[in-house]
Amino acid sequence: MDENQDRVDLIVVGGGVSGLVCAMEAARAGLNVVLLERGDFCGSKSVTGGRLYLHPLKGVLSEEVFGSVVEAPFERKVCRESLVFIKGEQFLMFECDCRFDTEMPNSVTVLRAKFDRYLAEKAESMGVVIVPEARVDEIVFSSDGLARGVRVRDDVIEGDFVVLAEGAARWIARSSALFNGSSSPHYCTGVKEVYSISSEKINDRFGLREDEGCATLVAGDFLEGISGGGFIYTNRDTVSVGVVLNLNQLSERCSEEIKPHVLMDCFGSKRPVADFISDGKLVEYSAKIIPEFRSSSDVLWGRSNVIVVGDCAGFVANHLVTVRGMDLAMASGSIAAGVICQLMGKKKQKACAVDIYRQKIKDSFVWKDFLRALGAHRFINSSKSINFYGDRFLLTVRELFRVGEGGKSIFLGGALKDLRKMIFSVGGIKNYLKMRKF
Amino acid sequence: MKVEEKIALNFYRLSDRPHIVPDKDKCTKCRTKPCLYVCPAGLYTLVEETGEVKVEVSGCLECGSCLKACPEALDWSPPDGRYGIQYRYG
Repeated sequence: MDENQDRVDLIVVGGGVSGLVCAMEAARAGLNVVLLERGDFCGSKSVTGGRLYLHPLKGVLSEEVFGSVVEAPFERKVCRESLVFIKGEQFLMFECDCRFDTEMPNSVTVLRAKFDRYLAEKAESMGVVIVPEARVDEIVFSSDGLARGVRVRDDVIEGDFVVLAEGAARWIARSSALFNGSSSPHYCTGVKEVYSISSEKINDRFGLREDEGCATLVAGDFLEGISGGGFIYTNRDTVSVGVVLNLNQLSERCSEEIKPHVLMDCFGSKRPVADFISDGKLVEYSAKIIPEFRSSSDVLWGRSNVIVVGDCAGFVANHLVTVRGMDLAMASGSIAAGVICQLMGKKKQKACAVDIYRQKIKDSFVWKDFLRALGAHRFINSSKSINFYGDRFLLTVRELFRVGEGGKSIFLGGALKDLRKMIFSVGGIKNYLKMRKF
Repeated sequence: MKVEEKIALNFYRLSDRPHIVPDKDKCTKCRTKPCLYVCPAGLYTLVEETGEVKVEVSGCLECGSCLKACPEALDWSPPDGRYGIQYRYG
């Protein structure tokens, strides 16, 4: 590249959803934007569970970019939510219809190779210059402390602002000294298998019609004591199934039976999971790490004119029955673009970008939902808490249905008495106190 | 299906240079070796005689689990542009 080239207004590092939305918003506002992606197309390095919640984006993204997201090729509209608790060979399943009274579904299932690729095409049509197969090695800073651009091998691309959307690894953040690696934020490892199953079979198995989708979250005793859970998402003609595992616990336990692929196999063999994916043909095996921070100080904001967004920042919210990453990621990208657009005419104030961004994030749903997730961890990460209730509830509900030799044994009154005993025990009160912070 | 068979279903473009290089000295001294237990693709193996660790980078899913489990003894970087795994579903 020519060393004398003009600077661009904004360099976006990473072509996942946070980077793409940021680039689109900035280009839409008239900025010169270059997006650098290390894969051979945007989406080839992206992994999601995955399901995207749409409504929170409406108030944050511009109408045009929000429109692009909503028109992007998603898989199915989630109309059925399911929670499963597994104990050994037994399980309890709650399922409900969740079509709300709006035109837009609450959430949609997505596959990133297709989804991100579409957003990238939209971005290009808005004027974003996307450079694939470009791995950024570091952000380059000047002696005045401001970033002057990024280095890809021996080339430096200069820009007034940099948005770092590299994902949870924080590799560039570390090589650019934005993150010193001295704190150890918590992460989970997500492992996923995609099975090819005809859409008719998916509809039959899950009780769906046409493009309706089902999202299932699974808790229980199938992870050998590792905190985490399983998920099953219906796509058009594939099913995504996987487990999310507490990485810190995996590192501490260090034993054969808790290796991620072993736990994934275990999950896949349990009922009802096995029945949902039976005869499916495995077409992809993937994994990603997921931030699951315990403290807001683990969030990486950036420095001066470098703003960090998405998984790299750490914006993921696990609220047990809703787990969100992509919508927070996109919102953070949009907010970052807004801050940069605001500062474009005021080059002398470039260094304020990260401070203004921090404030805007804290005023948005991103921060509210992120903080609430911090409270959930106390509850989730003693897997004992979920299993405490799950075990007892499963037992009580099963007994409700049993009719033995002496006739009907337990009636609703008896079941309620059991549940009361469970909730008002010492263990129950302790769990209640943990839950209150959530 | 064994995990090696599962990762063989993915599409990779392999580079000459491995993108993960364990530090021999640090690895031999490490007692816990979390890398062996966190990789979703099961790519890390122990060399019993020396206490070193080997990693089969050609099957790497680029998740970053090993990097988080062991930031000190692994020279970890994502593969260079265009190399490594290319997800077709994601």
